Amino acid sequence: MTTGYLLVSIILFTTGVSGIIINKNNIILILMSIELILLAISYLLIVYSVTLDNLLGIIFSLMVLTVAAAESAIGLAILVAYFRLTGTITIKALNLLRG
Amino acid sequence: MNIENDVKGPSTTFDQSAPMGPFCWAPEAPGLAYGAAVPLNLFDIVGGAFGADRAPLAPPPFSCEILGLRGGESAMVSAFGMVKENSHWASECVILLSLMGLLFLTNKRGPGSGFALVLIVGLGGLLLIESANWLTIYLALELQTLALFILACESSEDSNTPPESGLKYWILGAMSSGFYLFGCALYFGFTGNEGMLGTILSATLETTNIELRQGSLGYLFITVAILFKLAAAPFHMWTPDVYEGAPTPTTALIAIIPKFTVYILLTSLVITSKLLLSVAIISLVVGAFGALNQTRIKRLLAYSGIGHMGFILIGVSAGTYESLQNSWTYAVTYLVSALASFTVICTLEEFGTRATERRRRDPKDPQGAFGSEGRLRRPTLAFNNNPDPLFGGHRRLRRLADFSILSRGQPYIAFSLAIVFLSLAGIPPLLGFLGKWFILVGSIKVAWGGYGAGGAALSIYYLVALLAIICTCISAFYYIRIVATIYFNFTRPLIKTKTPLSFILTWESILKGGTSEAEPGGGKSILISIYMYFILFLIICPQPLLLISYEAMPGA
Repeated sequence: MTTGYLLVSIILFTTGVSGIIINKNNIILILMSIELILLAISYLLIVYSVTLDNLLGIIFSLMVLTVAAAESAIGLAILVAYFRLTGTITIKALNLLRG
Repeated sequence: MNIENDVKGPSTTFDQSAPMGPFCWAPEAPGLAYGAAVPLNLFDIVGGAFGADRAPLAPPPFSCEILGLRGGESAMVSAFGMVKENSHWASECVILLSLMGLLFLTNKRGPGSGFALVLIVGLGGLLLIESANWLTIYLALELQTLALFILACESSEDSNTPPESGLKYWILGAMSSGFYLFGCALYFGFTGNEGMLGTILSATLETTNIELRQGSLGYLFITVAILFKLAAAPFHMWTPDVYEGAPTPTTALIAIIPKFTVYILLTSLVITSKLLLSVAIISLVVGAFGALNQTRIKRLLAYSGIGHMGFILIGVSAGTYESLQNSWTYAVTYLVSALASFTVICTLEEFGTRATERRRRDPKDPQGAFGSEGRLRRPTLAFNNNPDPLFGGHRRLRRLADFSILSRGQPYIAFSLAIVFLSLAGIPPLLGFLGKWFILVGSIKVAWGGYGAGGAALSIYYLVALLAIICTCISAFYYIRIVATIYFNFTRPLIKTKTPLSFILTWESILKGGTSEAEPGGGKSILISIYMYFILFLIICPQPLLLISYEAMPGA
């Protein structure tokens, strides 16, 4: 019954992960990919919560959204500090610590 | 199934005849597998039922569900099959003590010092240990890592270095928490609750229910995320960069608190032992071979941490009570050694900082007063190309060559550092040997006992022990190379220094707390003395540590 919803969520999750892995240019895109991952997870949790008639999933997704907001705030703060010092937000500038 | 033996293992209190540690080769090693052992409590013994017989989807009592913490004797704890009276006080004491040690590492005071963030990391660790369902585990993990992201962004060079290691840590940490949450969502969907229970998994291995198997797919995602946090080998990519880029007190924090707490969390879960075993083997190999080429000290310590995590995971994957206790002992010994190494490196960096600042005040001073820190280094960052070499870096002790003839300039610090690296290598009379000994004897004992979780034959642990010994020998090469650099590397010119002898142990210098350049400030000398005491002498009487490890792990 929930297979379609599961499929949508898996597709969104995979898109987000591959966006992090494949992306070679922009840190903003990585931020968006991380948001996409977390939203896919929230979607899946809410779908399961409705299906199972269990409120815990909705509580879980609320917490996930809150923490995601904090996480992206920290990410943007790091990004601003990075941009001030280097003048760019490309990933290619990230090779000072090779790896 | 010999119920007698199983009853005796977890329920009896400790007495002298109970098999404990590798000192006692009890012929009837507790063949009780951990997979069956975690759901084992008093009711199971009375009923003669094990985890597989229990209805896995029993509705949890709602009392502790909201709080989500393991509140002592709550109904949820016994319903979810946690061993009763499974308190984590020993692990929490270890975390608090190491946090105290870590707070001494930074000399900065005031609002910008990140003092509160370090404390938040410790709080997240304590909450993580006490968490009992996936939601609280997630929140505690995030509390820890969000504080660490900020701490890792502070640059160690100067304020002009971009927060690159913080950025990398943030990207990979967010991705791993995404994996964790996806596993939680799958698990929630297929089991209908979010408790952290071993009964589901031990039922999963035997059931033909397809939904439960997919629930164990969620478990796999969660395991991957946890191994990410532990920096075990296929998921270790972030560690060398983050260690290298972060300032050394933060590096020590990243290397100790999250790893230890997540390790305790890992022992509370019941995870497929084959996956853990393969990860342990890969970690051993990567830790041994990855550090051979490293020329920077913190990268080397990162790979060393990966190899040590392999040792710890061997003990976890074997899954008996005794091997878990051995792995806890190993984790504590590694923690002491890592704390000692980072404290010594912080002390040396502090000397370098003082020398730089003094030279900044007095440009006519020909060389610094210190043998190892007297050399000026080229700035390594291209956009940080400061023409004045006095201001371009030199705050850090980065390369292994910077340790050359440290024994002339700083004899006691150099001796401490050499002892620490010998301990990390596992040279016999030191603390690192103790942990390696327990892990190796424990794994051989597991192989000898024959059967482990799920009745699988465990004779592969003979091979694992052999591989661990080989990897230890390989990694001993680079540890001992550092010791040789400290004592015998005469390629650099000697600089005569005036070091007050025996400054570590004189109460005067301890109480003065580092007014001169040659004394470690902020109580670091006391810390180094304490670590040296444990590293040198704990092997004479290790029984207290073993007793604590008996208390610390589930099943005591």
